[in-house]
Amino acid sequence: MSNLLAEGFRRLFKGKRFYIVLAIIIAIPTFASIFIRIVEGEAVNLGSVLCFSMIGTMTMFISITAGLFIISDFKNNTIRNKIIIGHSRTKIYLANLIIALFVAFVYQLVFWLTLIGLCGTIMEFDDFPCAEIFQNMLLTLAIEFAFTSFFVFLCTSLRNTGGFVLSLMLDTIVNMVASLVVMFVKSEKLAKAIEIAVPSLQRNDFAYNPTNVPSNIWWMILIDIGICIVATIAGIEIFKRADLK
Amino acid sequence: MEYILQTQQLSKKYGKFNALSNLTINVPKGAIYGMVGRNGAGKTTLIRIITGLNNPTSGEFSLFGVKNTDKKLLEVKRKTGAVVETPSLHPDMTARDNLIQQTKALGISDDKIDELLKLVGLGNTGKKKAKDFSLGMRQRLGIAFSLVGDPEFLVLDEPINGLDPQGIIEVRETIIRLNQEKGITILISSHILDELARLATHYGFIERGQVIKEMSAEELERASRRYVHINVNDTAILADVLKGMGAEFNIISENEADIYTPMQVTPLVLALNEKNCFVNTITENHESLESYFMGLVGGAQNV
Repeated sequence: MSNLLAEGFRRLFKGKRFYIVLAIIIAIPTFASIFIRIVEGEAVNLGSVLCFSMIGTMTMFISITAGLFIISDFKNNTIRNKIIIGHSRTKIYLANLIIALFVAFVYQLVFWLTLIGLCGTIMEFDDFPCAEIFQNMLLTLAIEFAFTSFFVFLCTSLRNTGGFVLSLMLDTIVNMVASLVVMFVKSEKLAKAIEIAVPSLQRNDFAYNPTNVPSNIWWMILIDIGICIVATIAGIEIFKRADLK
Repeated sequence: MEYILQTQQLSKKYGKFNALSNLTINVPKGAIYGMVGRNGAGKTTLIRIITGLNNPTSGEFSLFGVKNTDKKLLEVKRKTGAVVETPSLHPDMTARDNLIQQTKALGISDDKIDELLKLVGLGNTGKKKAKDFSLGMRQRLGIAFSLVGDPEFLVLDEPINGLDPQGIIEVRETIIRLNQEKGITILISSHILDELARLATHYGFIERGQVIKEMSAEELERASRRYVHINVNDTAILADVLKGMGAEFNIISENEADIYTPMQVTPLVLALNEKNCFVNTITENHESLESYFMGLVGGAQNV
């Protein structure tokens, strides 16, 4: 496993994509801060607005780097080089998952650090630091890890650009479908259960109100961990049975 | 005899199509084992199964004496290198970086990389990325990739496909050097049978997912028919004479023919001379690997 991780991380850091997406993640709050500062002429509470409102966009950024990282291994057939020398498919899958989760963690962490840094100098983040924001940060990471595990599942199972495109659109699709279902479901209990269970809806309570901690936060985190585990087990089983080119 | 690879009744189905049907082959240690077969005969499917890219539908194989159902197979696979169809390279990396990737996956030092690059003739590629390599360079880098872990068994699927004559010679010399100097057992499939004949010490003839014959190069030489290639001024007269002698022959052109029936040359030359047919040259030859294969499978379609 350590060899696979060494190989994977080297490939990740050798490519430009990881750094380009990272630069965009840093650029978004930076340009927003500079633009608002110029237009408004004073510091505003940008931290509260941006801290959790970017979760959907962040999953897209993660899928660009992590999804293409996996797809390119299949597209270039370099996955063969690992299988031929005796690495098990389970370990290959888990190594890819760890690298994808690392990408998700680094991107989100860098975004928050950039935002907090900017809010400490040219902008403001009125509510930071406080326990509620840290709890919501934990939930945000859980949501993104659930999405990332599903990206790895999709890209490894489909092994083509279709898997990447689905990953890219996953949050939008899930959000749209789940929101529609919630709108038309008559049972309030069922609607609430869907809001707790679907990662795209879990953020609704705190996306623009960073101190509002969802009442079922620990259930939500548990469900996200469950999604990670189920997607990984299913992904490994499919990958083990797959015939590769 | 010690075998590196043995398959027993190996089968693979893709939907209703039987790519392999109870295929059994034995690759002896130290051999260059040439797999001969038409397109779709099952050569690449077999290679994909033994390299772990595909799962067999039924049957089993053993690599270095370890069965595919044994968990130890993953350990012995470290002693294997393979190039399956097109080389699997990282297009945005240099040749050196590509090989370093493989050393990382193997968990070994990258000390020998420059030596490997020289071995395959890619020592001077510098910062050129793999995506800018010619087909021959990619093929050679693919072979270098497969050699990173100092394998004892090398699997090469169509390694000279698309190469120019110079590239073919380079790859051939590399393969022979690896076998003779490093003692690496090599399983090789190729459509270019003349080229395979220059390399292989053993052959497996595959047809419709089955091995129809396995033999050593010596056995092939003994089994393949000898024939006399003759150049005369008029093959029509030659044909008459040969028919009269009850010989089996094949007219190639107005001046050339092959005679398969063993016969003494002097009576033939005298008989031709009587009819004003003059012999320019006579040479004795062995049937080619291609002809032998054709005779074995009974026809020539897309070999």
